[in-house]
Amino acid sequence: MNLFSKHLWFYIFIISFVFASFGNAQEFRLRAHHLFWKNQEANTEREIDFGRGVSAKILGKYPILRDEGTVRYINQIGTGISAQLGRPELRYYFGILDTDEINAFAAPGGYIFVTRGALILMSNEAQLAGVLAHELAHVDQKHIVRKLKLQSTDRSVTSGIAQVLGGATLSAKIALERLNDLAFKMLMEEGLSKEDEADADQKALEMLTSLGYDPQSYLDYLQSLKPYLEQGQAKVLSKTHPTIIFRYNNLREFIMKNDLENFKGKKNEKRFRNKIATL
Amino acid sequence: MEALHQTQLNSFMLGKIKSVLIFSTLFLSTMVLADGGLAKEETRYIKGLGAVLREQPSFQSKKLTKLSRGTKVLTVETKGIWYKVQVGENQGWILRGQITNFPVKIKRFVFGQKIRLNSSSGRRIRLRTFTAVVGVKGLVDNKGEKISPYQTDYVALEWLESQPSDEENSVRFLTLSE
Amino acid sequence: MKKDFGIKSLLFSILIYSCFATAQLKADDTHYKNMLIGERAATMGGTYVAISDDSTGCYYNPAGIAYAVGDSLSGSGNVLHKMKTVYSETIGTEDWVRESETLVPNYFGVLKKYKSYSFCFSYVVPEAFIEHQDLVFDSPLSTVKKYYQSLHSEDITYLIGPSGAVRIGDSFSIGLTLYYHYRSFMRQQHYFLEETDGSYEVFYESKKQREDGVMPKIGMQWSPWSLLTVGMALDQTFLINAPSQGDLSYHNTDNKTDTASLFTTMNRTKSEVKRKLPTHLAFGVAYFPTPSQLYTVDIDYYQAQEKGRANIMNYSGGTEYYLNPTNAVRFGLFTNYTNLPDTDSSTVAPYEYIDILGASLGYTSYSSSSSITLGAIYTYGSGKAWLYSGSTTSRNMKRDSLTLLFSASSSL
Repeated sequence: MNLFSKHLWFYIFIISFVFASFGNAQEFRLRAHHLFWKNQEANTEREIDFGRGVSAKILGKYPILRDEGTVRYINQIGTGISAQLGRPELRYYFGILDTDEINAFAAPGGYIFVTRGALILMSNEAQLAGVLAHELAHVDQKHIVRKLKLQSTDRSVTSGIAQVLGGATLSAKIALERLNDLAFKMLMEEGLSKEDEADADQKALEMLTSLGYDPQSYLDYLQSLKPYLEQGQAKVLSKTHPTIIFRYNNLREFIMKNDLENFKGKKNEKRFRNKIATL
Repeated sequence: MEALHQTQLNSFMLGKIKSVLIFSTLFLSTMVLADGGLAKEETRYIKGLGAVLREQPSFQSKKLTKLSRGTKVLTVETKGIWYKVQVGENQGWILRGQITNFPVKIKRFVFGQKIRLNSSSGRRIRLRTFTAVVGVKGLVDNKGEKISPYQTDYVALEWLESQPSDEENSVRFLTLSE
Repeated sequence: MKKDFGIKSLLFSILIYSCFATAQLKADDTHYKNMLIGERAATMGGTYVAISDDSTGCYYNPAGIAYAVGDSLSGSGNVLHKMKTVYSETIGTEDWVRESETLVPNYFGVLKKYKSYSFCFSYVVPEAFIEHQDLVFDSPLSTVKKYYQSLHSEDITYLIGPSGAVRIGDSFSIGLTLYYHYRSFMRQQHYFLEETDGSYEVFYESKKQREDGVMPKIGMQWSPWSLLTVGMALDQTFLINAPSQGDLSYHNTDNKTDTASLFTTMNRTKSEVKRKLPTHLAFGVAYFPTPSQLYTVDIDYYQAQEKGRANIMNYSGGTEYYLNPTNAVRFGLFTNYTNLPDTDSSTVAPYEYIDILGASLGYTSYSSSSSITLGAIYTYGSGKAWLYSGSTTSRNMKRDSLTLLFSASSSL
């Protein structure tokens, strides 16, 4: 017993290994240089690489619309929004997918797509801005990246995508390809969580108001999606939008809370109809 | 021997308590002074092309001034989607989506698919994309079989990336209203 | 065994010899904070018990490394350490000035994380004393034609070993370091005295000692509420063996008595006496208000295990401030009190009673995966020294030192 108690401190230490906890802890210890580099170029570069891979798959499924006039218009609206409210280190691309389906996608790194079917359903520029802003928010908040659990629990400053995607070997490229597939599948089939969607909706409204657009128009657009869900037509939105009612209610609440009921924003209906007339 | 140690410890402790108190008081006071009352203020930067500073956290409120991109602000309070910030002598509210944690001093050049980014530390990094090498066919494994069941279209992607975009014009276009 | 060489020359040689016969010819084991270790800690006055969250933390508080951000390694060294000690009016009415300059790479550590476990391997030089002196006196006294003395002394302690730490829950961590302690001490002293009548003395002494031991260090850290951490660490060095050996040889001729007599002694002594090193308990608090600011204070308590040493407490405090995410500055203050008991009228040589205070300043430049640090540490102390063997008279002494440190860290 004497011998044991003499080295008790040692045994305590060994046993404590069994009770180890996991996950992030004491974030307040991170110093300025940790936070700065955690979000810097290395991660961004790889995020863009990853996003291109996913985008290539999206474009492999849906053909891209090359109607110069319409494309230019979408680009202008999108770039105008992203230049003011997007992540400064990214360049955003806006493409139109030539399909009757009503949908919009965002791939990491700033690649945003909206379908021809969705554009035809919209009735004014505010709605377009809203949809683009919503997708922008997904990119800004890195929802997809997070959902794929690419942000590792280890707090290494070059963790996250950099760790996973940094490899140049063939096996690393295979891993990258598989991740791309996972992301693509998620976009096409599962969709993001309804919390993420609601979050992107809110951010979209914030962006709309700061740009001077009518926020109610975005809600109108969401409403206009409902019949397509209910009727179960061929144009049905994929399972990625099962939560329209949830999102709509959330947005109503958001508008009430932030006193946006009487916000007078622009709709630019005429310009919108002009530009997408060729679709 | 034990008793000797004990008394030594007691008198020694009493003598040192005073210096401990003085020492720690000095340090804690410098903390408080330096920190300005331990308020939770944080430095942020205006992103985008400018933010409107308002008197109250509401869209109906009077506009005080417009803050340009990259302006350093100090956040004081938050209310819903608004942040109360201090800029030099001015204080007002701006939308929370208009500020970012990191210094905004980045210019971007587009050069085909190779994008050169000027980081805020001034260094240029080039964006490499291994996918350009892989091309349209997609990756194959050792046996030559396709790894991914999905089709890819890098040609379309490259077309998309080559579309011209002009930030200034786009923003101007956006601000037009009918 | 009294030899008559003339009172003056005797006094002179005793004077010179006894000066050097003091304990200062070894590493200074009367102070515990002679060397500050690690770039972040050293530039903050050695205050690190409540932080300790990188590869330099293995030495201060192993529990802290559980919160390290990714794998890393770091190496640091004192690229310049200049120390000057002045004993007032010691050689007659002259001050005796001793200077030393060393360059010591004093830390290397590598840290690896695995989930919420962290492992570290480090090498520390907590004590390094190197002194070389060559003195030549021509006709210092009327009866002495030439006096030459040379002294070479090196006393370096090394610690090397692994550390491990684990997080338990969100706010608690525990860690352990097991160092192997190795000390190597060598001193060689030689003097030659030639009198005007041709008599001479030749003295040679060589001492060496080696110590092998273990130093376990256990630590814990706790975060009672957000932005604040509290740390505690306990360590003690246990010596396993400490063989020492001394050679003394003395040879002289005396022409005064008209008989050329040769008196020589050659003596070898050996010893296995192990010194008893103190128990060290460290306690610290750190406050992290923002990612740019950090404030911390430490108290180090040393309980002496050896007779003739006192228990002492050292205090230190430090702060770190980030000018921007790539540049940080640090400042610290610390005490380095003597572990010798208070002196009184019965104190005899050899004895040095000096309390030292220090301040440190540092700058670090960060890049995405590495950092380099430059720092400066200045210490100053004043006290008294008993230098003349068997005598109770003391002299005032002052000591100041300047250390420049350089360090580099990289993430793995």
